[in-house]
Amino acid sequence: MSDVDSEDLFERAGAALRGPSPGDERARAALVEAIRAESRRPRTAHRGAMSPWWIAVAAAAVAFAAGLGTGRAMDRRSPSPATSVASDSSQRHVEFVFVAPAARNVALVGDFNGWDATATPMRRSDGHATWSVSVPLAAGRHVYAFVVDGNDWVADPQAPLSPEQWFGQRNSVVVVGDRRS
Amino acid sequence: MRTPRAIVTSFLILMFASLAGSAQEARLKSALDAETYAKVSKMTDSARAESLPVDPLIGVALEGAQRRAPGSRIAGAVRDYLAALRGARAALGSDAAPAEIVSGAGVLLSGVSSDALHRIRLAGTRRPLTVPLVVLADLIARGVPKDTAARAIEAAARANARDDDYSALRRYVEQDILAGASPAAAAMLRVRGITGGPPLE
Repeated sequence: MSDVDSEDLFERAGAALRGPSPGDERARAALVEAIRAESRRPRTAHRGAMSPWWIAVAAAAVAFAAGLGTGRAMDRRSPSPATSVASDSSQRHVEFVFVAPAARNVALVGDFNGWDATATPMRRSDGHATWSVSVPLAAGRHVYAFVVDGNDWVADPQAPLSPEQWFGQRNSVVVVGDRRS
Repeated sequence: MRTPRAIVTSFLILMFASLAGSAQEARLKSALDAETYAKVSKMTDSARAESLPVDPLIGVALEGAQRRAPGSRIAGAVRDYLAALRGARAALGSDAAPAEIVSGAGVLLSGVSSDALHRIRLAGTRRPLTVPLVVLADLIARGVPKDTAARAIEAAARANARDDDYSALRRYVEQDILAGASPAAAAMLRVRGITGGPPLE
């Protein structure tokens, strides 16, 4: 499936989610599943957007490379311009990116914001289908998800899945390196 | 003079951590009903007394509240998570970092035995295990049999793999599975790129 096809799927799914017949829960659930399935495709559908997983690794590499002169952990892509290392030594800024062209709003929830869907709204890029937000995270393992249009919790298609399914659905995992390591 | 500065810095860090912890507790209290809060608090107190990571337990409870899960289910999740954290520390050793313990708990919750987790610890003593254990849990979530996935990560740890090696392993296995490969075959094939077989690229 090409990027155009992929966008079309997202567009149709999102349009249906916004549609005037919210009573058809089964169709809606099927479309959400279609988004999830599509999201699991390789990263060509994401037009090079870096996942928090890679951004965190890249951020660690920035600190690492400062001492050793290598950027191996940065993968083959350039880090997002929005990626930065926080000024205080205990936290790093990690950028979360999610592709959802037809969504009306997307929020980031995770163990770092008490899973509060109102705490960290994501910003839509002008002219693009991507939603993003940068948050400071302490070193360690964090679990998160995206909330689309206030209701649908979706795992990050680019990130490792969490093993825990406490409430019926997997989340995503980001590991933030310790600056001292 | 470094000492006064170090003391002030330590004080500020402790104060910040204490305030953050209080905020989390307050949020927990307002998010849960009284009975569930009492159960969860008892377990977080136990974790604190045992020097186990507490924030992940609070995080699970808050996630449950946000997802409107019943109180009994929230308390059950926290109980199971606490047990997994204890098991992970026992398998990884008392000097394991909090992030390693949390990742190890996830591995145990994926069905990997504590013996297998312990073997990974013994194989990978030179680098932190947080990323390898996150990748192990991810491989299992994507359909790699847990014994195969654990053996692959153990072999990579023995080969002194770096975090980016594990990240590449995860990505390639995911791509292979999406292309139709058997998850077990994909994991075993791709780990050879780390352990001395043909390169991953």
